[in-house]
Amino acid sequence: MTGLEEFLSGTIRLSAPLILAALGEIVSQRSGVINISIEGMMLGGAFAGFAAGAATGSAGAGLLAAAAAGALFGCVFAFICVVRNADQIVAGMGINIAMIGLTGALFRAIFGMESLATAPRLEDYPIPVLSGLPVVGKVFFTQSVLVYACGALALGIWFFLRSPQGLGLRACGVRPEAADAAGVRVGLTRFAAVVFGGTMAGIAGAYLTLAQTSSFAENMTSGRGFIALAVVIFGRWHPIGAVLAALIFGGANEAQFWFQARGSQAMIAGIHVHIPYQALLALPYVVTLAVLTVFAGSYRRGPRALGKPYVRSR
Amino acid sequence: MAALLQLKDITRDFGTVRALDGVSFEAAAGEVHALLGENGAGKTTLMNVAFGFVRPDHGEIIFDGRRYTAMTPQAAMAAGIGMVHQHFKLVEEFTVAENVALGSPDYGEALRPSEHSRLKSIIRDTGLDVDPSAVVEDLPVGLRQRVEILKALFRGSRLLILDEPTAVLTPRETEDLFRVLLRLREQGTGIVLITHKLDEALSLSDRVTVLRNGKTVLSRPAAEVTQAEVASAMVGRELDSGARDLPIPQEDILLEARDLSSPETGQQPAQEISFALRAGEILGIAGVEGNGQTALADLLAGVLAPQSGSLLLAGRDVSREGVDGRLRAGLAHIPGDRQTQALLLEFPLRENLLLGRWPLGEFLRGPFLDLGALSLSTREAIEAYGIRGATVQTPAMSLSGGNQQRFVVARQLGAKPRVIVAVNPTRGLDVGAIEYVHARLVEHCERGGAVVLISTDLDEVLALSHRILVMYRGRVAAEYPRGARREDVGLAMATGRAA
Repeated sequence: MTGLEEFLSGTIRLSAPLILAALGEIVSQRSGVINISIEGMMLGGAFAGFAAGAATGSAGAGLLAAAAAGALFGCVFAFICVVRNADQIVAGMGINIAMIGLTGALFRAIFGMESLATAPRLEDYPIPVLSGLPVVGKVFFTQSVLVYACGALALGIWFFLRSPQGLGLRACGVRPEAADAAGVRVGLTRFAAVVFGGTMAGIAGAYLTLAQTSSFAENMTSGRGFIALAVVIFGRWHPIGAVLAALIFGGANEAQFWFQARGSQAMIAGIHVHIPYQALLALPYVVTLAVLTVFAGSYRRGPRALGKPYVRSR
Repeated sequence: MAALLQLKDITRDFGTVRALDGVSFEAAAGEVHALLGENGAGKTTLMNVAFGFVRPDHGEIIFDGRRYTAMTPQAAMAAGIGMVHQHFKLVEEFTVAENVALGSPDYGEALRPSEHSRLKSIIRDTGLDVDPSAVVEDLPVGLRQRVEILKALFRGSRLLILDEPTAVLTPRETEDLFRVLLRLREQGTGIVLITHKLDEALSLSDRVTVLRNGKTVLSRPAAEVTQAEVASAMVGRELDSGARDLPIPQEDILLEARDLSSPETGQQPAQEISFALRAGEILGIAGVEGNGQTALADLLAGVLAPQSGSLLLAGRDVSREGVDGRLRAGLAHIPGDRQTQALLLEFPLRENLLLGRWPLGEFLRGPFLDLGALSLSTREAIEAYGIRGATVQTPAMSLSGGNQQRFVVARQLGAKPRVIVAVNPTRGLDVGAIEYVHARLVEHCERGGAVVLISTDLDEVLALSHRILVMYRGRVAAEYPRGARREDVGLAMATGRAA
């Protein structure tokens, strides 16, 4: 692989979990529910995928377990926020904190303190013919099935949002009382949207433990769920926008690895500068902050009823 | 004619309040049925029962020969009931066609751009002229209402329920709406018109039903009843008619404005306003909305400091005082927008009683609020002003508009001011509440107080004022004594010149 192919391919690999989580979050937010616990749900999915994979020896089984765990977290969150109408931010924070503790404790209990346990890897699946193409073959068509799923899901959600059910879902996100009056079941729609978002977060987590590495570490998502939230905003709540936004963050992350691998010496204006690796590690987060600062203000706001519980008044 | 909708013996309680008490109601195809009543009489609740938004505790719903024990909005729409709510249920970000498509089984047809689509032909047949591709947030209120009606018709509604449809419309838009409704009636649609405006109810409907305190008190063909009969059925007693007897003003001047001008605030400023208001006098300020009345009200209440000129309250210059200083000096303000300026909607009435009550003396015990005294005062206001179904803990937002205004008037009068500046004090209220507010203002004058009544409702100004100033483009354009002809004042409002 050439350097460029390597960089682009790596960017896509690092973007994939962000895309998966962000696509689920878009559906949830377009229905009016802001789920900031995708960070915790990703972590839960990462652990469930790892544990099930290690136990069964099958990466596919791990993936299914992660999706099921994500769906379960989604049900819990939807019950708290959609059925019981609790504050979505508070509930989200709660789940995030609980997940760090829960996965950490289970990991130690099952795999021990100095664990070197590994799960089977979800191997790359080169697409016949297409993977043989120059450059794009390596970059786009020699990837994990989950990367291909990103593309398919982004298009699928785009079309879904234009369907009758999608219109109803979007109406729940901006004017739930109007949706209700038009016969759309607001509670059911939001519940389903949150469960979908949870499932996607679970799968995104499994990508980290089954596709990217084959191990688990405590709090290994380290803020990727929050970056996915930024991706949703930067992508303007649009699935294709989110893919592009995620690629920017993934690119920043890949660049960080790239600099680290090539040594942290740089020549700036003829002077050797030593860049501490901690600064490089911070790069994706700095990009997140910069992008949000520059763009969030000038951008259209999210769905108007976002974060607001819907209670039918008399 | 055969009944399309029958509601039989409907009863529904909300907490301790019986909103509906054994009400029966019928609506027929090809007929306009006006449902009248004061705020809180149960009109909207009754129709929410028919539409499935509210489940009755008792009683049955029969639509088109089918009996429903538990109606839901979905079932109501599928059966052919459409409801246009007072607060529109439209997604502002969507286009007209998307709003029609939302939740409809016939989604594709609603979005089909063809001239032959069913949506287009409904628009042509009914005269509900609106562009299906327009985004709702760009449309004026009158057109948004058409979208609501289109939504109902597109789903095949044979019974259309309209909740206070004219409350938000200009006279011109109201005419257009009535034309559409009459055409729909000809085409066989049943129409239920919830309203508290008597004249439109009687001019448009075939049948009139009046609710009071959750009970039916009158239900007859419109041709057989008079306005006075319906009005007294609504409030449960004879109403004072026409102009009131006003007390004779005394000699001493309570409030004097000298060349008051407001600073630039982006709205029409008030310029060089002068008047002298005597004790016992009501000064009416008439004018078409947007001719500087808001600025004048803010100047008088102390929300705005004057650019030039001065304001004297009982001889003392209060021009530099803020709202609190003027309240202390005895000038109270009933703002024009009760929901944003006069009330904290989320707060209970007891806390709302404190707003704009300076000094707080009577409600303080040491440095703390005396909640007992506050509750007592609130309870007194609730009882004396007939605010039905409210307790001291009731949040302001759960009161009807009429009851909110009763509460604001009660609070401002409770401060025992000498001068009241009242801005559109009866806007959106029903006849009973209007009469009530007017009576309180006149009573205030009889006790030696004075009132500046700033109102865009000319009939209100004519009925209540000793003198009338007409505002036009920020200035006083004309002055009339009591008994001036309506046409003359109206002309001055429109042209800025005295006839």
